[in-house]
Amino acid sequence: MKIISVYTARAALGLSILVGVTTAANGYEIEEVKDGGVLSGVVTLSGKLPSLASVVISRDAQTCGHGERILPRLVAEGGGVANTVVILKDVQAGRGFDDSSDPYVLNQKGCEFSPHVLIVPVGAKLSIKNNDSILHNVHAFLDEKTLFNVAMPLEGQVIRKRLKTPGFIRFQCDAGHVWMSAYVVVMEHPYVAITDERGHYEIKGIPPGTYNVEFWHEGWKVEKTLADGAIIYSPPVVSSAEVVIEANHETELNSSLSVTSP
Amino acid sequence: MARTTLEEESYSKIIFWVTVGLLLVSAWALYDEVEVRRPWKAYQRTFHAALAARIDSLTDKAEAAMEAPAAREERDVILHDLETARAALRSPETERALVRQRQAEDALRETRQEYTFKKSEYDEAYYFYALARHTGGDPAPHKKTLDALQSTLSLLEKEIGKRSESLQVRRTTVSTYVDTVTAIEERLESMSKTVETLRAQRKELAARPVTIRQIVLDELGTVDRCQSCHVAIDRVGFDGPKDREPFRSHPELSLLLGNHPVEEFGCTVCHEGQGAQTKGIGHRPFDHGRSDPYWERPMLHAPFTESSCQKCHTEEREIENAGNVNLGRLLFEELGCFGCHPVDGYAGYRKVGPDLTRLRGKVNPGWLVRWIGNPGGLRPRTRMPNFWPRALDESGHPEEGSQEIARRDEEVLAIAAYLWVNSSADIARYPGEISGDEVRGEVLLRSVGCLACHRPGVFDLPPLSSRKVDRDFAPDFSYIGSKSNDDWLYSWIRDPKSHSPDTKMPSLRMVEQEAADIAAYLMTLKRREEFPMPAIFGAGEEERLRALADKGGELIGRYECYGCHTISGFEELKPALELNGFGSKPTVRLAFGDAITAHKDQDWYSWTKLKLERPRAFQTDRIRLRMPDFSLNDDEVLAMMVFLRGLGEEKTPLAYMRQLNERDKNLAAGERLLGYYNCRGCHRIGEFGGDIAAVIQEAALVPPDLTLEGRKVQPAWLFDFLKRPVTLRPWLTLRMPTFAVDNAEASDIISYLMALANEEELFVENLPEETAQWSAAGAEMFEKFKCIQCHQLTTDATVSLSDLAPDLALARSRLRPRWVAQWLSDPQRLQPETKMPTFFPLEDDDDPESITTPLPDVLDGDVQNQIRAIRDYLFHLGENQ
Repeated sequence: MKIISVYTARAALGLSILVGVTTAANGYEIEEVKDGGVLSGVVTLSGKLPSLASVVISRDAQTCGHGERILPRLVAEGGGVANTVVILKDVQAGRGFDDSSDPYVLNQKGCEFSPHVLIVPVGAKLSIKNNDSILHNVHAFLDEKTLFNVAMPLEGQVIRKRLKTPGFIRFQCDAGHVWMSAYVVVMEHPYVAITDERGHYEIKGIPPGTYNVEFWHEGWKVEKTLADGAIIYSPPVVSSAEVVIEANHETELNSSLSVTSP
Repeated sequence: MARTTLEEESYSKIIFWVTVGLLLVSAWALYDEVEVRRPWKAYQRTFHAALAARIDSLTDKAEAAMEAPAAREERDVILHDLETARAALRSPETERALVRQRQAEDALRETRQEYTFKKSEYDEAYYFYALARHTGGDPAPHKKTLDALQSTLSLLEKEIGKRSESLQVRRTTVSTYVDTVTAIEERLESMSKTVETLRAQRKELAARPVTIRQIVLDELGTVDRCQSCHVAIDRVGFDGPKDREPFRSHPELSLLLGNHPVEEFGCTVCHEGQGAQTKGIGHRPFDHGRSDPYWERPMLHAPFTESSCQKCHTEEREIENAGNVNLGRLLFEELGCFGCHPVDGYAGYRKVGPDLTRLRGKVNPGWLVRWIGNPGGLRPRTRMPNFWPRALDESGHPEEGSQEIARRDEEVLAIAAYLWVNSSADIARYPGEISGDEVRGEVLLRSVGCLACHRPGVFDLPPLSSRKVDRDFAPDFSYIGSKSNDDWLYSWIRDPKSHSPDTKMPSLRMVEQEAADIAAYLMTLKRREEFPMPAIFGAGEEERLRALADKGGELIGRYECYGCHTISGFEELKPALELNGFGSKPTVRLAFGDAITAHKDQDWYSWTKLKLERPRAFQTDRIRLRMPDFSLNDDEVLAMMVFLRGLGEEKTPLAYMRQLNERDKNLAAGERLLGYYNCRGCHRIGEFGGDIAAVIQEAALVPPDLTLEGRKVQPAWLFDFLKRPVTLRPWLTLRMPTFAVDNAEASDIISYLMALANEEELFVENLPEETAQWSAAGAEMFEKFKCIQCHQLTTDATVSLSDLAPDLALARSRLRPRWVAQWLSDPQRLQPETKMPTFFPLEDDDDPESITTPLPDVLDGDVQNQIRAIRDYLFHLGENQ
């Protein structure tokens, strides 16, 4: 058992003004959460770590490196699966986003996006930065439809995009770097976490109640490889579980991702 | 009893009764003539009464609304305002303003007059001044006078200006009072306007006589009195469920009567019909002769009114509100009806079936015999009709052992023999050193574009979205391995035109290995059953086969196979059963055989319907019919009937012909070609197409949307490209086929694409010479934006061939500069899902003005100038080469 810190009314009020418009549009209401519970757990891999697809770096070797690159779609060293997104579904009210991670930055360095998965509150601005001296092309898809497609030819260039619709935004680079990929999870509420390298996650300040928890992983199965080397993966692996959160109580919920998942 | 003599006998009674009788008869005759035989009078009275009731009820409502407390209050307020405004108009203040206005007017008039006088003096002085100069006198004193007058005039001009202004101010003061009163009066009037209008309508209605309403159109030679009964036909609002004929509004009133005003077109131009009969005969209800076999030209009923659209809308492919005509004409063209039934306007159309002069190298005789006998049995969606429909039972299966089957098999064998003997087996052989790989062949077939036109049943693909005729566009090759051989498939895929110069099948510019691979794959597509070769095609039977072929030749002539196919020996024959005027063919000239015997059921419609449904239905012991069965469904039968009904004999006066404007003409001509070549199988054009996406699922790998192509590329480049396509996008597995369009077709397609994109400029402007600073900026951005990281540039040998984006060296001859500028500013807007990114992102996605540039130091950060500079750089690339 663990008592968590309680948000002050002033902080909550400040946040609600900050994201006031968003709150009204999406129906998520920010309120003070007293005696909130904690959800934590580990996402593990069941079965042997499969061999992952790799691509040959065919261009911009000075920046992108030589030879073959194994695509880190499934990071599961030591049994825990990283980059799994854990989401509490259909939360109507609760605390606001902790804005300490603002600005939200997606980097491109050495022809790779980092971080690989990023959470951004709906309505916030995402900064996308090119740290390489070559052209990167930030092509963002929401529901497999282009959200934006912007060229970033200059080293150190930063563009900012306000993300207005909740959902999973997939990023790719169309400037020949077919291996580059990243996900930005646009959230209405802050009850979400990404598993670390050990597969561990923690979500704090949850109003007591029963929740449906969704575990989302981008998936690693190759569906097909296109002529330009781009890999089309199977749809993300999603599972869910029900959990009861009690006041001032840490609940543990583990999940396991099967290597035979579709 | 005294006998009265003949002279004395009184006839008065008889005369009286006869007179009475005569009077009654006369009265009846009069009544019949005036009332009974003029039912329109009763209709008009009924309608007028109904209309009056409607107006009255509206008037009552409007009056009630006026008397409502709120309205009354408002009126009282207005009346009060009016009183106040009028009082103000009469007030001493207004009087004073008026006086001041008049004074100002007087003052202005006086000043103007003075100016006129002084001007005359000035002119006079000028005369003397000029005279002095010309006659050698001293101009100086005159000049002095002149100058003095000049300054007076200037002063007066200023004065006039001042006084005009002051008058304007005073007038405004006065008119404010007047305007206020007028405005209030208008408000008052508008309150009772509805009621006034309704009263005027009511008055007009009361005065409206009951009379014949007719439209006389000399040019069409029609006198239409339809509106005498159909009193509401051109009125809005009589289309409720309770409204009955003849008191209904015309359906689709605004489109049909809006575009065809009754006063100019009349009624019978579309509805046809004959005579003045206005009531039923005997116990038959009156229906304009629709159910009366004795009427030569009964009125057209829906949807056959659509048939009339064709009289004037001859250039359109898609006549609005005439779906049956559109589909009927398409069927007529696609099923090749014109091959046997010549109709004006179809001369020069290519035969719809394949060329059979090289058949022997193509098919296996066992398959050929099965195919001719019942094409639908092998390919359900084929367009080839069945010439022996009577050999099949209701469910489409052969009736084994029947006489019809025996006849069919005999005839089919003879026809096959003729085609075999009279065709060449001359094909390019499969090259010995190449061996086709069926696995590679299947991958290629699925990725190179074959499936944009061919939708074989075994592949389970959706039908082509832009196809309106429910038949295969290109042959179903599900079982082609049973039909053909790899030599022929190889040579056909390599170069279809060498086999059949008129074929629609384009060349995909296959190299030998590719053609061999696909042929190898196709040969694996076999039906389970065997197609044994008939014995007569075997060795040693040549004599017998030739004898049978002679008989087959007669049958080919009889069935007119040459209407759709090119067949050796029938090159010059022309079918003669023309259908011009078929739509107005009288019933007496239609042979109903034993199929429809009841007189009352015999008419053009019943004949045509049955003929299309079962072409041999009217066959008798003595008359053998030849028309094959096209397996038309009910909708197709109706559409064909509507189309055929429109093949009338009369010519429409030129003034009534729908003249398309240039753009619509281009769209219509192009639309036909797009359907003919199935461009939409690959490309989305307008609202349809892009069917290949069902096979190539990756959005970035589907062929480009051509809706705006006319705005994008230069006509001269497109002309060359259509005739000889080159690879523009090396990363696509699909290939733009070489269709071998002729020059006229290529021009039509270009005109179509330009019309579709609302592009009018046929020639593309030269870009202006650049300043050094401008071209340096273009070059700098071109380099800093790293365009050639994705695009290739064949003018620069150091750039390797790219598989990401088109060659920029082509831009100069291929693209329109205006399009390039639009493209650079936002590629997604012109081509959604393109990989080309924007270099000028919006700061705020909802604000198109918030466009930014990553290079704020170039050309002062002016985005539009930057875009133009890059474009100009592109267009000057390789200028001197």
